[in-house]
Amino acid sequence: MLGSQSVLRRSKKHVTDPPIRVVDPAQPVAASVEDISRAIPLAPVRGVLADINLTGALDVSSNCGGQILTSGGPLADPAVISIDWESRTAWVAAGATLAAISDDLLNAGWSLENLGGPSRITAAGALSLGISGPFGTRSGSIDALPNKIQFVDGRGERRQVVKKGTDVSNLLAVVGALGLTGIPTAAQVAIRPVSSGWMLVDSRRCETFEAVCQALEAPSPESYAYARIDPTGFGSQAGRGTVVVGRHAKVLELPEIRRPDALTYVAHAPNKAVATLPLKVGSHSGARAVQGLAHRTTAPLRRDQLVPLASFFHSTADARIESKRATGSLTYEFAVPTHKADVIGEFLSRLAQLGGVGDHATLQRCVRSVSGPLSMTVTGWLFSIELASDVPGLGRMLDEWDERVCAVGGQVLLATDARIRPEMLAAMYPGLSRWEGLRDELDPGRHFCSDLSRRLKL
Amino acid sequence: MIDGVGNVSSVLVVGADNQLCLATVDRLVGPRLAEVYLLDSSSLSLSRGSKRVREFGIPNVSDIAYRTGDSASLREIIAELFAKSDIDVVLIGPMPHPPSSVMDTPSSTQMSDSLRRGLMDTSLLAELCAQAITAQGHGVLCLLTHSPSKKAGKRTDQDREYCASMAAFNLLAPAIAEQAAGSDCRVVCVAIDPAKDPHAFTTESARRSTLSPLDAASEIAPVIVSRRKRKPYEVVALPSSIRGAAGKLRPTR
Repeated sequence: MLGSQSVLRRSKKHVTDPPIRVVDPAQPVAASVEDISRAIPLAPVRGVLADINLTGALDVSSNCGGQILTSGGPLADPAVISIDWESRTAWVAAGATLAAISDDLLNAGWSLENLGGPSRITAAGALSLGISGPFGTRSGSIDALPNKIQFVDGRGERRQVVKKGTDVSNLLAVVGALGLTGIPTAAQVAIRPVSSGWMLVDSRRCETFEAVCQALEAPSPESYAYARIDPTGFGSQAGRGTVVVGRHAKVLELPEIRRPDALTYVAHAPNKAVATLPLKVGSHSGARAVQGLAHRTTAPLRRDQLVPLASFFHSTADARIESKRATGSLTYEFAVPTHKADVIGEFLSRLAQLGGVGDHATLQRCVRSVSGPLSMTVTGWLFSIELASDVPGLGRMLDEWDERVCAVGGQVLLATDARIRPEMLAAMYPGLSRWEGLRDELDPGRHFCSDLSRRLKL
Repeated sequence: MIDGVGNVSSVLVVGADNQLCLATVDRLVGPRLAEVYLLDSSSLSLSRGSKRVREFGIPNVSDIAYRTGDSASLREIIAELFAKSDIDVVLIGPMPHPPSSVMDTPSSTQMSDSLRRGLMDTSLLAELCAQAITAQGHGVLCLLTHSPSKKAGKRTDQDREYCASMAAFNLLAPAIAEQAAGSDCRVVCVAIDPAKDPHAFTTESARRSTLSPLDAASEIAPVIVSRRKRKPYEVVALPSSIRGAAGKLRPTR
């Protein structure tokens, strides 16, 4: 239909099955594009939002009192509609989860070029939130963007936006638009050939923030890099962490026992107890002890560790989702320009002074050659941390930090935001008026709403 | 809606002069709290309450008076309020009958008037608010009640009608909670020991051994804004400590 070769789902035994989509029986399911077109104009007063399979976990994916429209049937299965070997692209169903898409692509020896975020998020969600994974050589470039996106706009009309060479302005109406301009139904995304579903991972423990930054600044080609930061470091050790660099393993690099199943998708199953432990401990000193121990017991240097593809790309985001569900934590994610990396160390010191408990802190480089009006536009460092929400004074501290980040030319990311003030938006996102124009064109009736859009008065 | 760090943007207070409700609003004040609606049947209570809330630094305070026993107007008021904007927290604290007030109707007795004011109207308002927060999909409904106690109303300086209303309200709380059935909706039932409720006594000397409203609010507010996994219906017993129960806690602010 849309590509040159159809993909047949092979029946095989998974080591662990991909996460199952949880559908709320009270919410409608659209089995076709026509169903979506019909549902949008009939949306209730509090609007409609595409189900990205993270309802309740993020403000951007929740619509309290409104409708969550789940894409089912052929909009979710098969996950991969077709693969075009020549252009290295695949048409994927927007209602399918990244795990299901990766599973199908791996069967055929391919992987998504831009892989990251929670494994259970749908392709529609990944596109709408502009999700990107660990920093790779092609991160943030035009190549990493989808070629075509089919979506239904706020009038219920079917549309297709296409990348024309370096002109991606059309695509940016959907990519990173926070699900408020349309509901994607299918997308033609960039893929890369792989010979196994495993990553070869090198990790190095660094005792200073400068050492972490230096290690991340020198990536090897065809690799992805990020750092797990220990949020308990203070003084000269603030921002210490472990730098993780991974590359796709070739089949001959696998041990012989794994070679027959090299292209088997091994789903990531987060260990709920471990993922939520520091935030569940509750006390600042207890959490510090747990995290400090975790950092000190990490091997100083580890080479060529075999890690399943899903664990490498999704483990942190999956752990954050578990943490949110179990402890009600919030994500604070901000980007600062390259020469302002010291702001991150200061943030961690300030958090320690406040007695805040953080977990799943990561740092990675970010390069943005193209981005949507509400996406990250900063080239520099992207820092994310999961914070226990019930620390006295945390709200005021984060408000101050929003201003600090904004003053140095940085941005707090909206996709994971749970608390930013609406008045900070215009200062952080100069493309806001452009986005409002796009929204007026695509959703004049304001049918698409989310908790985030209501809080930020978008 | 209540944001990730527990900031509240709008509060509805039913019982504008209730010291516990006002102290809880004081504890909820943050950079996002922009709108407070006060609802009461007494214009005197409304003016006192709104003056107090303005002192907290909240820019927009709206006073809304309702007529006792007029269920149609109550429905209209709640529908209008929730249609205007989302309300994050609803605090409902019945007030004792003013000692020298005139009865609403010539045929009513002080007891019947007090029960109607304290119980019928309040429980209807609570039910309407529960339905409204269910429709908006998020919100916390906080009900101030009395924990069942054998000693309640036995002292001569206690307001018996008020204690009876509050105890009955406590019994109704689970039924009201059933009306708030949204995934992000919660009902917090604050069960105050009648011997520690400052509104339950008619004499100043008896009030001295009761709970400080600000101390009580310090217990209630964190439960309202907490993001930790909470049950849809929670009971907060006050005073929560033996020291508080012994009456050794005095206003500290």
